[in-house]
Amino acid sequence: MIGSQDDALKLRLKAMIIEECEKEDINPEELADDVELFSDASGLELDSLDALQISMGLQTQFKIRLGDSKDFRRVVTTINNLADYVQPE
Amino acid sequence: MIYIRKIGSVNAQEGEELDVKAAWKAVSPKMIRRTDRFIQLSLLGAYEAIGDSALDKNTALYMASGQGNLAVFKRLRDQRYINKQPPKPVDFINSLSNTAGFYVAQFFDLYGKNLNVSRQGLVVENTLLLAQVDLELGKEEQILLGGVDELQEPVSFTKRTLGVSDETLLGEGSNWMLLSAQEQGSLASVDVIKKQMNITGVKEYLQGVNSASKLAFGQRCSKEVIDEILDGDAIERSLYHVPCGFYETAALYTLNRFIKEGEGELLFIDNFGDSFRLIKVNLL
Repeated sequence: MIGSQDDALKLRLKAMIIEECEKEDINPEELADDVELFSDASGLELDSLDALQISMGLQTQFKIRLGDSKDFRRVVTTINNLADYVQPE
Repeated sequence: MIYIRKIGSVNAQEGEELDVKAAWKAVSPKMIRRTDRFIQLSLLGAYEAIGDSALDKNTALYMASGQGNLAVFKRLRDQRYINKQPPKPVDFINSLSNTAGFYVAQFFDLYGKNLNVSRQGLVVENTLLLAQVDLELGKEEQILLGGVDELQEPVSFTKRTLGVSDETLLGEGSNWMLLSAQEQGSLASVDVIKKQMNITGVKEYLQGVNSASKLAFGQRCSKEVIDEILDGDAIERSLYHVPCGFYETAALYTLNRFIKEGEGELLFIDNFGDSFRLIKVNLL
């Protein structure tokens, strides 16, 4: 199953982002699948240090290593996009 | 001689529960993210001293610690050598020596010098002396000075690294004072005796100290050292003792308590090995 269709995977990704970015006041289930994570619309108020934390979280919890910042910007856009990258099929 | 305008302390002894995160979150819920317990303890103590008052932006910040933020180094060690992972970026940043000082400066909107002093033994005395010299020379007009040490588990290991006996109760604290070269509006004057002495020098110095002056000893002064100093003194001295768990910057807790509840003059004597330093505090 492709990642964006896997609700359990998406919830794990949201929980990881919230944990790594210390945004415990936000309920993972309230984070929309198709919202740009690094936009005002997400309500997460993420910055470049959060990007590093998320990158580390992907590596430690999902064994996904993003080579550089270009890869990160291409992959970590929305939860759906990220989930498809983590689980392509 | 310099002057103390404000004081504030957070102090706890081994076995006491100090929920630093909850206490700091109540003060500043916005500034909790990315801070760890050492940083929160630093912020909480500084807030006890300054509260919501506005400080001059040029106020310097001198922060002393015996152990520094040791907990974050333990986390980094575990991430690297036990979990075989690279360090988390936030932990890496928090491991830099003056990160706690950065947060304190950010909270009080300070843009002055931000100095971190970490050493085992006499760390408070040396940091205070540095502040005193900078104020006396006019290099700084006002300094927010703090001493912060966090209790590290397991306590048996910490006692060994600190070089204290198994019976010694450990503590932790964040003690701060706002220092100025100007007397106006001050609570007390403080004078760190610039000369470092041996025990003979301390005994000679005591001969010239007013009989009304109270004496307090640092936590590293053994009973034998205290007895030797007092036995060689012609005057029956009044001792000032503040119960407090052991930590390297506890000297500031004693000074703050004296300023808060004492009266008259205090001579604080501390040592590390054969080196002694003396601090005089006069309540105004």
